[in-house]
Amino acid sequence: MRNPVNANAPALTIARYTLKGYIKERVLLVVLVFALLLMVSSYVLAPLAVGAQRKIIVDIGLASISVFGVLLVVLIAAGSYSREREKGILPNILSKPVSRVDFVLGKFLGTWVTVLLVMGCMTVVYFSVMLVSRTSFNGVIFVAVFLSALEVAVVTAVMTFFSTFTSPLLSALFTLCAVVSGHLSADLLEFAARFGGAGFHAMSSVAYYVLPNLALFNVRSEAVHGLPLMNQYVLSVTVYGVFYTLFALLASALIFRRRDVSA
Amino acid sequence: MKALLRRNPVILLAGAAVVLGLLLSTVWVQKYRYRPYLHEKLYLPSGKFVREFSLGYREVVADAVWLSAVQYYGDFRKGNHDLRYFSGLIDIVTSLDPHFTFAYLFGALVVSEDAGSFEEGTDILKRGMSRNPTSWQLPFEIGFLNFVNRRDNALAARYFELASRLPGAPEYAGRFAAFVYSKAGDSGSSIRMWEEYKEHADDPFLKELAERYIEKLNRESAGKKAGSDA
Repeated sequence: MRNPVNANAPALTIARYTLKGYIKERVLLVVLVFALLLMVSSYVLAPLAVGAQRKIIVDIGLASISVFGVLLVVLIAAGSYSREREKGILPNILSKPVSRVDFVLGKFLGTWVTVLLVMGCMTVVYFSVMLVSRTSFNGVIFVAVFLSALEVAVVTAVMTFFSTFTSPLLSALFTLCAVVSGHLSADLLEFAARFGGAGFHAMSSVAYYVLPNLALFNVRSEAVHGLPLMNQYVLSVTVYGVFYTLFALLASALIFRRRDVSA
Repeated sequence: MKALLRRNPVILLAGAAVVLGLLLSTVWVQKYRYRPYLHEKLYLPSGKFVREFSLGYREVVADAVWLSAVQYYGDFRKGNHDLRYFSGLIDIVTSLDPHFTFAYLFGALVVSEDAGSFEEGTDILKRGMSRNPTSWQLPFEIGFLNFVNRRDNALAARYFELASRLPGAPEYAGRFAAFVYSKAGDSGSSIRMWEEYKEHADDPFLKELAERYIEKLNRESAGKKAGSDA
């Protein structure tokens, strides 16, 4: 019998199986349909928004791609580790020539690519709505979509980290908390610097540097109003996103190596 | 199901009564849909608060509040209420999306001309200018309001001149400055300025607003003429 795990790239094999598993899930379709309806609704809403017709179409489309991408990660990935452990699939996979690091990497890639496919569908519909409504494009819109995809990679890595050692419910909750804090951490740091004491400032600084700074990935305002965006900014955020993702995956792998995976 | 209904005509009757009741109550409740004593906008939090709570999706929340502001103004035009919460809505929209220039322009026009708060209207525009220093429309509208509302020609001309020097400013911004320098403020020249404004406005809604203010000025000047004739 042929070994289903590719010995040269076991992580890719795990990613492929993860992707196949997610595609069968109904929640994927439900989220996709809901997101597409929301995007199309912006076309209907636009005439009601006096003076903001273009803005509404661009805003709703970009926000839908970002918010549904993050939501989908939480919905599909929260229970994947524990589900495979409970069904006995995990010990079975790890008995093959697959290291735990490969498994973590494969699960991450599978989840991220699944969400990217959904985001890709949303982007196609978004651009179609813009074309039909004759909304003008600018280059920053493409950058905004790219950075949303990168934000989803960071959130997926954070989700992977929590999934390796907590229950599905807790990992979903922790990831959502990380997303909310990640959007607020810069403001919190500024607030602490102005009004807080030394203790609060120290706590805010720790939160700011440890949590992912997701506000960096948000260039939707620049995209909507056609504001200039420096290439250096996009490059630095991309490098930050890649390294934060790698860091979260490394931490996940380190924890997962010590976990008991028996069903 | 059919057999069940045949056996239990009471269920059939009860079902029909419920459907009928729902239809009638739906029609009846429409009469009381609008409750003028309810000021839902009273509970709108400040712009800074909404800004923090909208996380990274400030622009979309700004859109939702903008739709609400437009609807609120529409209700004012129908005579359903006054404009006491309008500037609060504009403050939230512009705090959430500081680069949404149209909100400053529309908000200032309505606050200055409909609500009669000239200072508050120009404050909205000045706030917009500090956040969008390259937008020519904002100083242009301050100049415009100073001319048609306060008849302060010197200040109006300074703002028109400032607007004419900013990137993308049309040729008529400079023309307005020259015109204002040469004219004494009277309602006749205000109407002509509004007509120019209407002609050059990009948005049909701004054109409609300008038309409304022209009619208002015409009515006022006709009233004054009738008073002096009498």
